[in-house]
Amino acid sequence: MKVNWRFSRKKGFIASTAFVLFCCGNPEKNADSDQILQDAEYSVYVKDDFDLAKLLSLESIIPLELHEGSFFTNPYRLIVLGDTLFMLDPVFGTLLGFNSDGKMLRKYGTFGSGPEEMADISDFGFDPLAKQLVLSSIEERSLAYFDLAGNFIRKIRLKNQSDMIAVDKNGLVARSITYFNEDFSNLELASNSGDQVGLHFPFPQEIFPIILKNISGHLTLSSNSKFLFQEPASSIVYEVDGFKATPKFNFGSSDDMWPLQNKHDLNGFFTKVASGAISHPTQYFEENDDYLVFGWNRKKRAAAESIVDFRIGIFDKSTGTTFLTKPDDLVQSIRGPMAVKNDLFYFVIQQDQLLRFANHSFFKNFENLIQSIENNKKDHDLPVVLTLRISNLITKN
Amino acid sequence: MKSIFIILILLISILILGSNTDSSEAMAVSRFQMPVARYCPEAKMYATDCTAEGMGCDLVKCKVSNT
Repeated sequence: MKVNWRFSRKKGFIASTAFVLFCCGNPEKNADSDQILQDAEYSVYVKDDFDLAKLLSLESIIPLELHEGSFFTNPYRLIVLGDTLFMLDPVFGTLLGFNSDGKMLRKYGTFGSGPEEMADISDFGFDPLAKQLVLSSIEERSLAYFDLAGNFIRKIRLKNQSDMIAVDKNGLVARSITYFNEDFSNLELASNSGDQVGLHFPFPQEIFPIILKNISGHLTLSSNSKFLFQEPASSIVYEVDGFKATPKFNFGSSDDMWPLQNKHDLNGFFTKVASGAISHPTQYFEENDDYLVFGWNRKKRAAAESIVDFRIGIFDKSTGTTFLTKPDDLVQSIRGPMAVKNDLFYFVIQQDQLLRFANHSFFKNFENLIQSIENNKKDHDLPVVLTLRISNLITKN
Repeated sequence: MKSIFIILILLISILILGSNTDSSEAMAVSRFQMPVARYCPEAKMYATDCTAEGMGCDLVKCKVSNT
């Protein structure tokens, strides 16, 4: 009897431990692993192209003015909050705030390895609950929180690096944790204290990792304040709500595209892109209630010298129609980053390029402003923000 | 007997901590070698470099064997 009692007590202990482990686990992790082939909510079929001016109308041009000694040349992420523009240059590791006239307000974060400093800034987001900017360091694998006045609040260290982040209305942080992590997943969700609460988009362990965020793949917020995420070599944009990833936009084209089932062959995708053999969505898209605006790189045309053929695409969610800009050298220069606020879309163009295309019909009515930019031009190039509105051709469609 | 047991625990702890450090270092090294792809507007072509910053659009292709 004694032996039986000890045996059953051991079994009981194992069962209790297993039960506790089961209850403490995260049942939502990898919940989307079988969703790859699901139909998306919207099919974005890229076909017809139109003049840029027929699709988008220019509302304003905002030349940026920096404080003495500040540098900014490679804009990556643009976020518009109220009247303030926040823009990141990850190469210089500079996150700057500007007022609606483009005058620099302040710089966020100080370079360094100290507890309140940033080794680099790979991306940033805004936590509306805390009213704080969240800066990501890929080198330090950390998130740093700053208030809007630029004061350091706190820093949290994380297990995985992240090249892209977004923060939802509840302060939940979505992080693209690249293809080099021991969780073998491409997207991690973390609470505002850094605890991992979800993993999505698993990939095989033998993958050859490349960071493709400068070419394709994007993480941003949807019009529902959920996350929108596109893996780099995939043509599907998912909406992620924390527990589930649902296919929202599925890009298609009459041109050759990278097969969805090969999305983990990153090197193969890059090789094809670099040869101009495929059409693909580029690294920027933003959504409002009515439209998805996205970058598109059309495959190399037979007679073209360049292997790139960048376009801007607009998808009307109410009619399911997609509009693409015609080949236009100006469009090559306004590929992104982009941001959205209500019905306005924000794009960025380098000042040198804006001056180069000063006589383009798209800039008519802005001759005086462009002339003033030319007159005040400094030695170094600077970004200029363009605010654009969807034109009548689409809204009346 | 008790001291041998303590020494054994210490040795095991050192081994575990040591292996964690190795794994972390290995990850850091490989992360630095992870290619970053970008478009070079001046050259109108795509390139990869081997670090996330500092090499601009240098046409340095990472070898698969390095990662």
